[in-house]
Amino acid sequence: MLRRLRNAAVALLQGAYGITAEVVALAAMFAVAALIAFLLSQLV
Amino acid sequence: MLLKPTLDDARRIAVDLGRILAVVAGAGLIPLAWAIALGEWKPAADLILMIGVAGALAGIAEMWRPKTNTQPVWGHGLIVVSLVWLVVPAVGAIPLALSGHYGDLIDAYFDAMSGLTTTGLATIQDLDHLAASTNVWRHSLQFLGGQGIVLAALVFFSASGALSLYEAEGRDQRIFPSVGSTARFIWLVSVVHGILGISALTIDGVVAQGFEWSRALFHGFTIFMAAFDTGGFSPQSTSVGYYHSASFEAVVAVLMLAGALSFGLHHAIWQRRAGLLRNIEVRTFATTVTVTLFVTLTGLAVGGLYTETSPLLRRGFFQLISAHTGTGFATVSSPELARWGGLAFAGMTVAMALGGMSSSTAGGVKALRIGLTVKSVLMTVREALTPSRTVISRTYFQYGRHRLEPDLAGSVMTVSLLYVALYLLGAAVGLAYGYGLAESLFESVSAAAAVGLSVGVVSPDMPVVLQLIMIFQMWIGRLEFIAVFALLGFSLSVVKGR
Repeated sequence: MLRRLRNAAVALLQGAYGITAEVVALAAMFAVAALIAFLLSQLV
Repeated sequence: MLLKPTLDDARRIAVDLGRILAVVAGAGLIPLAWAIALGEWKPAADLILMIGVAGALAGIAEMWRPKTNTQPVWGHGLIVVSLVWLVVPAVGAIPLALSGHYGDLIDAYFDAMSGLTTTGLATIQDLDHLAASTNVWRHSLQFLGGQGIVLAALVFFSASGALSLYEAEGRDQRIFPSVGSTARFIWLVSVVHGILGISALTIDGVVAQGFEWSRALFHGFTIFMAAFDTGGFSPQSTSVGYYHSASFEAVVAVLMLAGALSFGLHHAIWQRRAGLLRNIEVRTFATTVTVTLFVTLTGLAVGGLYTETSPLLRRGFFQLISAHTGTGFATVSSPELARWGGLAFAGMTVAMALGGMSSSTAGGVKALRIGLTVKSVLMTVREALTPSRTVISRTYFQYGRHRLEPDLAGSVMTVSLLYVALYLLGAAVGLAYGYGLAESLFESVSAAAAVGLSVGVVSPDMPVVLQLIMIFQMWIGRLEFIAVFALLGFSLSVVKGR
């Protein structure tokens, strides 16, 4: 029982870590694209 | 390929198909429980009929077992999978057709196919007044299609034919040595994302939008299923735009991205494996998302449709992620999306065509194929430009270094070209019906790449032939051609009697 609870907690923590990585990746792609688009729109 | 199909081959295929229908019948219990809890008795009766039909077909198939103990082969898996995506929408359309929200049976089948292939295009009428349990069934179809009915069947019926079914569905990355443990990991990723995603969406519904807990949970549950399985069905006709919440959209964007990542990558992230940034699929996907996002935002900035920066960035970002991951959620209406025009429209169309990663629920050509095609072209150009004695390393990195063999490069380019041909097929039919080139191509790519965004062509009044073409596009695009070719070959062999 205790082992199952521990496994579930580990899976949730791994998932939370994975989602954090996804958030960071999304934010990075957004920042790069938005910055370039903003700079370009200032030039046009 | 089954060159000489026997009656036992047909029986083996029927048994596997029946087992998958049993899973569909089991999945129908979820909306049925919902209907009983809410006292929606007519939808409950419709769902019971669907469960009965699926259960009866499964029972008949089980009684028609092969007489000899034949081992399933690769061809069996391919044919079962291609038939699953034709038969399950027919059964799954029963509660939809009986709901009174569809003009005819083709509309109901179109939506069931759209759900199962995780496309998200819809011809439903008056969605906002659809019974909650029928809505849950629409989303369950997406979840089944996304998670793979076949995969579910693998978990529940660990049969000897498991591997051929698994590979035939296009989920060719085995994360663990056994198919069963791979399937369990895929479900674990989904459940963990579900717990965290539904919680975040429900809390946002209560806090930011003032929903009651039960209503917030319903919206959180249905939107999570559609986002993580890159489906795009929404309980409201205005899609995610209904919520008017930046925080809600941010959570949905993360879930859409998570749904478009391969399960192999999820495993690698969870295990904190090194070399992820060198992975060809990660590099390709990050590059195409950034470039198409840049193109779309630039198009919106110079197009002048949005005069303020904040709504431009928010709408452009959400729509592009929705398009590239093949989800199809919208925060702008179809007429507004049609007005984007020019560069923004091109960015969105290309993003939809490229799609997500392999071994994910996303559609489209897929990042791995794009990456390998580009790599192969670059190597060929380098070979042509360098002296003949120079050796060019033809390798790529994906969880380890692999050789890019000519056979692999050839098959990758073949499937990529088939996708382009499929996109052009739908566009040509759209043009024949008098729609403009841009909107015909947009809608065709949206159907074939299992996206679900629409600029207004898909509607209850759309031409029947175009509707049938889109059903075909959703089916063949989801199965990535090979399984459908196997079914075609099997059918020809049966007719020819060879």
